[in-house]
Amino acid sequence: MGKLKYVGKSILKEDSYDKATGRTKYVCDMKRHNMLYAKLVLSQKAHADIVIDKTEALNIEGIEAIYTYADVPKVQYNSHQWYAGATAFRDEYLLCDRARFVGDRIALVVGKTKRAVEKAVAKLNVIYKELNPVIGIEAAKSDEIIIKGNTNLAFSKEIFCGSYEEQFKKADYIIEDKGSTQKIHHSAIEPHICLSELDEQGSLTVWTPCQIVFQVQYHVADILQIPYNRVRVIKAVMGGSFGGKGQTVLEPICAFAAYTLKKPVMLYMDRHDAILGTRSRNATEMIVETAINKEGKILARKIITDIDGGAYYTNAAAVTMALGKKLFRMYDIPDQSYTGNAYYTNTIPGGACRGYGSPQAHAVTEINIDHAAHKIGMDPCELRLKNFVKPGASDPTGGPNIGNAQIKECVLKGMEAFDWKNRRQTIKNKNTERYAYGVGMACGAHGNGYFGAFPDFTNVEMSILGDGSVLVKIGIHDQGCGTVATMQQLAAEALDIDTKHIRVTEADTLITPYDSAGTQASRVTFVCGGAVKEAGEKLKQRLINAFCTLKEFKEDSVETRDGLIYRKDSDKKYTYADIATEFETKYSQTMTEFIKYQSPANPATFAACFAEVKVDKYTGHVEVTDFLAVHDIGQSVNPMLVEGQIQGGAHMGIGMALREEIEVDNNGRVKSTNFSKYHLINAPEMPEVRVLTVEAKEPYGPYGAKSVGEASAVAPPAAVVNAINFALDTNITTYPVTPEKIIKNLYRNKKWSTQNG
Amino acid sequence: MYIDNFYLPKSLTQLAEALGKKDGDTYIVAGGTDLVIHFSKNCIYDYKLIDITHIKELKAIEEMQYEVIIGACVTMTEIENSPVIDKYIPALKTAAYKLGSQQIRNRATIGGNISNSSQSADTLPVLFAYGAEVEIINSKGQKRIDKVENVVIGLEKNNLQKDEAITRIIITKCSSISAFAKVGSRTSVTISKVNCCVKADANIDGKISNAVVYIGAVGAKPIKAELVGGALIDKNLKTISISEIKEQIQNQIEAAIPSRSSKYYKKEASVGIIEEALNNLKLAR
Repeated sequence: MGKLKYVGKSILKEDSYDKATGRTKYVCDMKRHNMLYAKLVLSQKAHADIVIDKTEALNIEGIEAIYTYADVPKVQYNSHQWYAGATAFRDEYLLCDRARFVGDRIALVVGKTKRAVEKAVAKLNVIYKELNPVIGIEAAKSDEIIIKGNTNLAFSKEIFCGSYEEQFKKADYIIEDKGSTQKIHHSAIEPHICLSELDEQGSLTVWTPCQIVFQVQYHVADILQIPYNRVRVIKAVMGGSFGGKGQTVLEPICAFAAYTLKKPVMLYMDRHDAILGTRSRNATEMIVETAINKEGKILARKIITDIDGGAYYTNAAAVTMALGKKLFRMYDIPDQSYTGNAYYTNTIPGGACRGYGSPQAHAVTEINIDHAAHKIGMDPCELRLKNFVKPGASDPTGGPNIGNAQIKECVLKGMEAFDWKNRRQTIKNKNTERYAYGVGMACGAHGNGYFGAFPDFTNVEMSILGDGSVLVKIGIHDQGCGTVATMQQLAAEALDIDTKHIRVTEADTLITPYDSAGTQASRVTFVCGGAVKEAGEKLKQRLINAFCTLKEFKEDSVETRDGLIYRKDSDKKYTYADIATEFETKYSQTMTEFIKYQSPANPATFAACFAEVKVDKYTGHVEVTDFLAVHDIGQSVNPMLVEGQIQGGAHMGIGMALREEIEVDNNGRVKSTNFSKYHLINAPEMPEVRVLTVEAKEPYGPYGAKSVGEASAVAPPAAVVNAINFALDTNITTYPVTPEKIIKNLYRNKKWSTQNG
Repeated sequence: MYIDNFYLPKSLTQLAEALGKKDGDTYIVAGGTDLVIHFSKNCIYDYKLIDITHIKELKAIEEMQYEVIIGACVTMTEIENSPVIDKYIPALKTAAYKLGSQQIRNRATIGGNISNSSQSADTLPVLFAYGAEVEIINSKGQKRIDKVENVVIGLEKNNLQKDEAITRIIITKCSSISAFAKVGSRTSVTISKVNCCVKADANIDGKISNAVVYIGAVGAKPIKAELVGGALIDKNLKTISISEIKEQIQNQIEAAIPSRSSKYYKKEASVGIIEEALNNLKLAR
């Protein structure tokens, strides 16, 4: 591979100025002739049979329709299922007659103005016949109240290699930790929204800021019983997702209203609705037992994870599996067992959330690794270094090869850049009566798509047009991460033409070729990027072949550079446009390639994060005073975007460590329904996040690239908590580590702490 | 000044007129930072507004011979930037600066903070500590003066009559030094879990002769922390250690919220914020 010209450059993404200056139009800015507004009525009870009296609300001026369970098709679906073949238990209706969580869809109000709609939502007479709710994993496990079927256990699976029992007998120590992670709201600044209308031919068009247009098409068509090809889904400009817009929550009911009323309908949410009425990161409880010898070698590990799946099946199986599989891919542990159990509860259903189980997988296990190191008096970095997988290792459970794993390099590089050994020795010298200081670190692993588990392929049509500009038709969904820019750079590299000449589409079921799994699962750079690279290379070959045929040159005498093609020994240079046009004239063909690209691999991606904290022992506040993230990313396509992703991941990770939580009370009510009660880390609280990358080329990735966006949210939470535990000599294992929790741990021997449970 | 459901008085006389027409659906609005949230939280869609932000008299900070007078519509940003406030009521400057976000502070007013009477309002412990008074106007144009501490009932209730509005806040000048501190769920843009104002008189050596301490968010409205204030007397600002008054602080919180589970946290956190306030006082001296 020669020197890269476009890959590895910090090219500004095209939409930057428009987004920064407010010119970008989002779905909420769209207007259609005779457009109606719609809002969902969300259940205020966690578990209740619903009777709705619409009379009064229907009388409000401007109300066009109010739909309830009685009005919608009785077709069940699973909002997580992304194509017909990904079978998953279907237990959701468009609107329900039994609410199963506070936030469940019980009615849809459609009207001419937002004001009329909101008034009617407030006026709608909902009669709740309350049932006892199941809140929390313990209550679900007891099966005293069963939400559906004959048990609350939605999914259970053991993944294992070797026999941990044997190794446990030989171990010098077995270190056990019990911990938990919380429900988290994605906090995309754009709340969920969707717009549907009928086109000139009576087919449905749906604009949605989503992560998989083909999933939306599948659900809309399936529920409304119309052919797929009569549903056009367009991925709209998106104000963030983080997995939160990965499931079809609004689109089918919005499409139903537009289809029924024969008018455009915009279904919108506010923050309250987006927190309660969509999806959340699954809460988990985990018990980890790690067997080690005195030298710090991990002999075996046993992990039991209980997952709060929420009120509907959605991703119960998927997240249980995704979480478990990651635990076999970072440390070389020949004997390990993971049992994952997902339970129904009367709370917000689980869905994808940046990292898809990986942040939860590493949250408690990485604290446990520090605990193990502490037990034998070893530096936690040294213990990890003794146990990491090696590059090219195979997955002990038979999963895809781990690939060019550089986690060891990440830790070594991070230790040096962070001055780890010295700071770990000396940080506590800064302690005062009030403030305690600590440094900590943690590691994390994530993946690159679905290969090995589900179909993972994408189709690309790439053309050089008559003026030499390039059109890349591919079904990607830019969530603001710079996916389009990434694809432009990969296409530019393959074609040897500047990115400014390249247009990359976003997903539109009518115009972009089929993509198997959407913009999720950290598959886009690796899989879709691989497809773009291959399409670009084929297209350039086609151009060279055309040039040789037209000019009767030999291929090895020909060269391309920056959009020009020429014979090496000649000054006469042709543009790509010249050749595309001449080829069309002479051979009646376009300069186009269509490829069907199947992912060839699914390597792991790694990160090591280092944090310094200052803990206020009076108020319990934690300030993260320094943060370093070192990522194994194969090859950086756009270093500026990579840095942005890692900083954003650190932000979410620190939030998971310290603040963010959807708190649900015993009745299933949620208090944190806005950003003054749901506490994100804000700018003044963020440390400067230093970013280092290890770029050792992933063999199957485009130009060596692999994933980074989701992976960046995996290691930070445990890094911060490990730093806190080091500062306070505690072993806190429950997330988030709020000020109250810190105070409780500090004064746990005092009388009040026993009173406070 | 009157358009259907919107009044825009430009003088106190016009305000009195508008107050005369005020019914149960009419709200007085200045910054709107609490009112808009109140509307959406309570699904209030039909209402009338009296916008008082165009009355000149309500928008100034004035230094009189014996008093500092703050118009009800003075914003937090204006308080934060006022040299008069900085000189005479330093704790109010800090309280204003620590309230909400910059966007909120640009609009939120001191009159609104008083009349909204939230239990975690940030200016209230300071106004209580200074014995601040409010001037109130009614629909007849009559004015009355009352202590802020009386006007505020707390938990978003005040003792204003339906036809009354706060016009000005009056604080008697003094030579006391003061400081404000708070703790919320994070360090900025946050609602107080507990806040405090320490106002004290100290001589040139730092010896405290008089101290008034109010602690907020441990009851419907800020409480006078007599135990803490008492403990500070005769202590020296330069040498005082928080451990000397820790017990009194915790006893004060225990007395204020004996049965609330949040007391365990607030008892520790209050020590932190009072130490912070005392540290700021040291700097002021």
